Amino acid sequence: MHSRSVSEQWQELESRAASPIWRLVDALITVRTLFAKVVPAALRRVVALVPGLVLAGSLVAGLAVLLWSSLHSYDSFLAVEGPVSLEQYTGLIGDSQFHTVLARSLVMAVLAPLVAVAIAIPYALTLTRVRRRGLRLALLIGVFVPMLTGDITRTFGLLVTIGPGGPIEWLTGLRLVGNLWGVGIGIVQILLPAAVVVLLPAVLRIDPELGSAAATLGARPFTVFLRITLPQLRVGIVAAFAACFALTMAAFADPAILGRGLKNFVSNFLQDRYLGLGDPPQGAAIGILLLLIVSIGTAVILTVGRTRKRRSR
Amino acid sequence: MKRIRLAGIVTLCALIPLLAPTVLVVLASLSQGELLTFPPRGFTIHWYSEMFTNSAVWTALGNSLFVAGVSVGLNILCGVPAAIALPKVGRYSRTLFTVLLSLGLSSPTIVTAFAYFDLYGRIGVRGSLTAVAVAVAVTCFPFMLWTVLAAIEDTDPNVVPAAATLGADPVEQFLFVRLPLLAPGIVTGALVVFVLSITDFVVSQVLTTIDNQTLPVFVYSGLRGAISPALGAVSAFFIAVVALAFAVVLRLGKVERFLFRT
Repeated sequence: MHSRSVSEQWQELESRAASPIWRLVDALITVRTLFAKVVPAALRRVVALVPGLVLAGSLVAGLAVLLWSSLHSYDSFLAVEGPVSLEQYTGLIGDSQFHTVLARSLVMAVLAPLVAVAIAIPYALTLTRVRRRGLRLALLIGVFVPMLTGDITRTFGLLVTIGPGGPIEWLTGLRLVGNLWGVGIGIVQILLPAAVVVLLPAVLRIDPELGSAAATLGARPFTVFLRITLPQLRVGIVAAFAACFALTMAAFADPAILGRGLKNFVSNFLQDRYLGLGDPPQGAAIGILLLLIVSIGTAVILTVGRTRKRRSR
Repeated sequence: MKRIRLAGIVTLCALIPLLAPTVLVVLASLSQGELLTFPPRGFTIHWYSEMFTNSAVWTALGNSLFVAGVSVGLNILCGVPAAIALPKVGRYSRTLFTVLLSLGLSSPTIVTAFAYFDLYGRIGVRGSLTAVAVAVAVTCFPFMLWTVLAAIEDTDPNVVPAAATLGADPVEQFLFVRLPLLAPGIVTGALVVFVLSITDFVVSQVLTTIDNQTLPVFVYSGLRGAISPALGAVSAFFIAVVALAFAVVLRLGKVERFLFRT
């Protein structure tokens, strides 16, 4: 009795199968069924990746073109590309200007990440331990503002703060813009948020019981931090350091704006050679070298961090 | 206990240099005088009115919005299917695809910029704003991918099989079950990509010409001279855009969950 009335009511319901939206869905189903019949299953799984791979592939094509140009000699006076040769690379190896710029970048790429990670560890620890939502929100905003305001607004802000006529000069009389201190401050400011974001997963994986256990056994807080908390963070610290190294090697806006173009890094040197001096193959060679240095440097940092972990076990 | 206090002090000290420059930009944009000085002299909104009557600013803003719009569109079109397909492929091909898809972030930005500069020069589209947007989209792509991947990890794996049991076709499963569940993640990713694209500087300053400058490049060309409060007004506008996007993202609640995932 009851079930029969339900089915009768169902039949009386107005059907929406004819509405355009459902027609569209039906059409899509037909297309997908046909597609599934034609394309083998193994291919079907990859097909959704195709647009993304095309997008990333355009960069691969660009890098290939860059590599190809870097392997040619070039007459910058006539702007004519010459025959295939390793001239650009041999030229760079003997270029003392390139040595200065590379050494400056490498030193900064070791020092700035050390400072940034050293500040990022307590920052990330506090971020996860703070109870009050307002304070946590402030810390989150502190992480995201430098990251998302973009290079220009960030460096402009720093220029206002530490530049000529800014509060730091007014208070202390220090001139920071135009030398490596200013560039370093700018780089650490952008590295710190990146380091915090990379460290956070590791910080969240810390087992709080271990610290309490050590404290019960009479360890002082500093000992707990040094011997219990830090070893648990090792993977995160290594990853953060690698990310910061790559970011510093690729720094462009900070040296250009806070260094006032006086303290060039590899990126600025590349642009000067490519556009300023009008020698594209030379610039391309610098680009390929920079890509290699960043990739190899990151890989070395990550493997060194991993092998140490094995030894300690 | 002492450790937390020490960490807290370091954190608060770190918070000042992180936030102070941004606050000072806004203060600076309100100060009188052609040159910026500290402490600021007087109060004026003259720089804002000047910014809004300057047609070059509007053109640059339009270019920036176009680049950001195309970049967001490309990222949604390419990133969402890729993120959905990525967990399904085999382990080794997944590593390969992940490396390939995050190339835009792992390659130094300036190298990416000049790779496209060279490529565009050879195929003859150098100077086109759409071409700039493609390059910007590639540098932002990993952020879109990660946000959507995190959203996929967050969803209940039983929901789609349940829909299938109830007789939903794969198309219906995707349209009415997966997509609505992924929507907050997609919106978060799109906002992050929008903000990163509209503030992009390194790629744009290489690829744009004097005729189609984006707003950050426009500000940069002004930065080389004396520091004028007029640039502070433009920067303050950027900060407002970021603040708005950030407020929306926080409201969606995905960022905190993404960061505090275990």
